Amino acid sequence: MKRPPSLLGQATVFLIVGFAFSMIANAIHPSGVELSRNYFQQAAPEHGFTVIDTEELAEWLEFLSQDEGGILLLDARGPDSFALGHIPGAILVDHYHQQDYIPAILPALQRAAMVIVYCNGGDCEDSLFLAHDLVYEYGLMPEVLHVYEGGLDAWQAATLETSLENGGQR
Amino acid sequence: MKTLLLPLMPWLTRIAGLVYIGYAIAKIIDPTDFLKAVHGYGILPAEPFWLLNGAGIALPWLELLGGFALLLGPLRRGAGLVLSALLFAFTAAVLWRSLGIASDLGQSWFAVAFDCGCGTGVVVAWQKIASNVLLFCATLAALRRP
Repeated sequence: MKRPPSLLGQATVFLIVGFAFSMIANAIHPSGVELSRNYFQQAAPEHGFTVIDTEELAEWLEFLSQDEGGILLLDARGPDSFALGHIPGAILVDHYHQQDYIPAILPALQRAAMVIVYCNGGDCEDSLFLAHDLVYEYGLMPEVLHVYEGGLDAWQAATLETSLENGGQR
Repeated sequence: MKTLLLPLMPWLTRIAGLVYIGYAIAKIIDPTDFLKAVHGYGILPAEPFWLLNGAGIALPWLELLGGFALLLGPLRRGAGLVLSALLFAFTAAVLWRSLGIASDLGQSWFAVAFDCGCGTGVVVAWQKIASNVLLFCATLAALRRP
């Protein structure tokens, strides 16, 4: 009579089948992870990009509305987060799927005198990773890149304060 | 007690299977979100990056296949062993990270809430750990001999 496989034998088979299946499934997944890509470049904390605060961003945003592509504001978060709220005038460039976004705006990026990137703020480093890739993979000059480290959290907090001062409207 | 628990074990296994499938689907929908969460724990080194990416790719699918194995039967015991080991490691990681957050923010551990990358969004840490302990016990039920 054939003996059933041992517990460890079953676990080994499960792991082998599971790993093989996961690689195949990931390869055909439209948003699959690229095995050979470094998503988390060592950009932080000594990244060297110019950091701007909320006040400076607000000033630059006034130019953004008048300027014809000289200043670009990039949101490095995902499309769901972007849809829930973003800084006015921002362009979605999901860092983790940047190949879906950057080719379409690459000429504008190369022309821009200033590119500001942001994500959620706090622990979020996606803006730094995006800035790093824009320089080292897409050839932008590091001087052009500006990082709004406060991110959407700081922007929303500051906007709320301003709105309250102006009569409680957001 | 044993006679009371024995008839329940197949059902515990199936329920655990359904829970794993639910968690896995949430992760598989946006694998980079899960990858970010795995990176956030700082357990796996950033380099070589294929190690981190490989874990980010494989874990949700292992969870999904394991869930189906628990639900349907083939390789049930092997899947149960792998899933319980993964859950144990993940729960320890959630505990470690939540203690770190509580220490960094100077707040009570019971008030710590964060996105643990478990496929359930932002969770209260102690509640997540408690539910993981229950799920772990249910997963162990899959290890019984046929």
